[in-house]
Amino acid sequence: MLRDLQRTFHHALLTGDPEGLKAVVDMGPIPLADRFHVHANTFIGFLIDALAAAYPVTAKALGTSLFRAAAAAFVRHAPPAVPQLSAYGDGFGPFLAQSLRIRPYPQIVDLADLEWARMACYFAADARPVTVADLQGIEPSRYPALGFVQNPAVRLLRSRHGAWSVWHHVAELPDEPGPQDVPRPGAAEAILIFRTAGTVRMDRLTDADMVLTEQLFVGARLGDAAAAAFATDPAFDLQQALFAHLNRGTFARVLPPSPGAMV
Amino acid sequence: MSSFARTAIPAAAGIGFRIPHTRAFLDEWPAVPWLEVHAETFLAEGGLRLAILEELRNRYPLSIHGVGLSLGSAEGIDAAHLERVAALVERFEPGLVSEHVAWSVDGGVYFNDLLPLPYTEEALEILCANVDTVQDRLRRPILVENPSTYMAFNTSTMPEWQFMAEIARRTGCGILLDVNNIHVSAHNQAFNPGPYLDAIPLDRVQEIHLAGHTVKQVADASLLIDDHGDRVADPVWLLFDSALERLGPVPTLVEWDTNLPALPVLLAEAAKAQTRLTAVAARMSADAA
Repeated sequence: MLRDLQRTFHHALLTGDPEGLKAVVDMGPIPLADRFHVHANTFIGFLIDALAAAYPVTAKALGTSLFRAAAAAFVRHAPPAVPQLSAYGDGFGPFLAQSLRIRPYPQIVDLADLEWARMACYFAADARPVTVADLQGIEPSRYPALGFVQNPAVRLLRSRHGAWSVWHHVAELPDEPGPQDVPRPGAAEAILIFRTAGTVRMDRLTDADMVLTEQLFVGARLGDAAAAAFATDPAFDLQQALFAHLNRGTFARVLPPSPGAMV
Repeated sequence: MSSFARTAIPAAAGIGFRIPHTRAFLDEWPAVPWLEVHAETFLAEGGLRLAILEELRNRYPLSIHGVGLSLGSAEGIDAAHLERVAALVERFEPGLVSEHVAWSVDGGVYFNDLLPLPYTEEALEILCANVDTVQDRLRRPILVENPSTYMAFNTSTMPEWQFMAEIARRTGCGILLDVNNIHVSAHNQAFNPGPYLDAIPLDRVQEIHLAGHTVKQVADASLLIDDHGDRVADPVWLLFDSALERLGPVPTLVEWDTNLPALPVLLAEAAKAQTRLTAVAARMSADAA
């Protein structure tokens, strides 16, 4: 039965052992192991390459050998569920965090999480961003009651170990540093990842700006989100932060005050 | 939609567009008669990939070549993936849509490879049912491509060319004849490629693929690997010539995926194919006169 054959092949690819196929494959002068290796190599090898493309700075930080070993283990642990390789690689950061060899470098795990957020932004849906001009048509006294919807091509990330700094440091190195030479875990960073004209960019946010953005993304109105931000930092410059977000295209839509809201 | 909406693919030599060549395309818009893209490369929700495909679509006739529908899966077609491909096809209205006689998915796992099928009546029925599902959803016929194979199954009851001909007969689909795959499979499975071209229903062949392959020495033999990583090999050009003698000019595509060269190298390979297409067209005109 075809289903049985495909199940056997499935098992062989995940284990790398073609023994189960011996009974059904025509033998000739070319050994089964060599024939099977072509498929095993395509399956594992190309997916490792796909992970290297999704996680280029993580790959550089770990070095080719360690990265490819970790990626091969990930492919067997979590093979793709969909055929578009751009969607493959979610969960690689948490997987690395379980690795005995990589666990001592939590900043590299954070780096992987950051790179996956960059991937998500790169392939996310298009949306017309809210601009300064959009707000100019609204009476300022109504601003506190406005809602701001997250642009689908924007991600907000809290990195406990300074992934923004590590990313920039490693990306600019001419060679693979090896994990022991990657900057040590730094201070926590709030990172906004966004897409401008198709290119993914990222900025560090202040703690108060992080709170403001986080609150808006979960549906808080601007007045409430700003209050939370001021509670974090009384000197927070709301106008400047909001202006910077509008320039980045952080929001896809402005929600009008809800009916009956106090403005 | 653009002026190329559903434009027929010309009987000329096109190339497979690959992402690393994006800059070269944007800088030069090379004179190539048509392009083929892998569907799965462009299954994004938005962003630059789709914008690039829009630009290409505005300038070139386009074919969409799937690598992930897994027509040979016993568990059937993944409905969610078919919807994604259908959305892409509906948006870009390609001149041709094609897929492979292979399987890639089992138990919800996608193996990122074109895995071999036994050539049995059961596999034929499954594959034809899956082709029907795809054609019904896309509301258009597709082409199915003969595979390159590295192993054959002792349960097979018919040769590959008969399997291919039966798929076309039962489903009404067209055939994408990959002559490099014929050469690779014939070498690896020790069969004579001659009967292949004689047995394929020529009226169903709507596209030809050409590509390079690698020769790997194993034990006392050699294994050909269809890695699309080199120029088209001489025996494949001969097989292409034989196919053109039977078919006349057909849309022909040069694929290059690994060890991707600079765009001019790929265009030069397509020019070689074009020379042969032009020659066979001239011969046929002369014969007709």
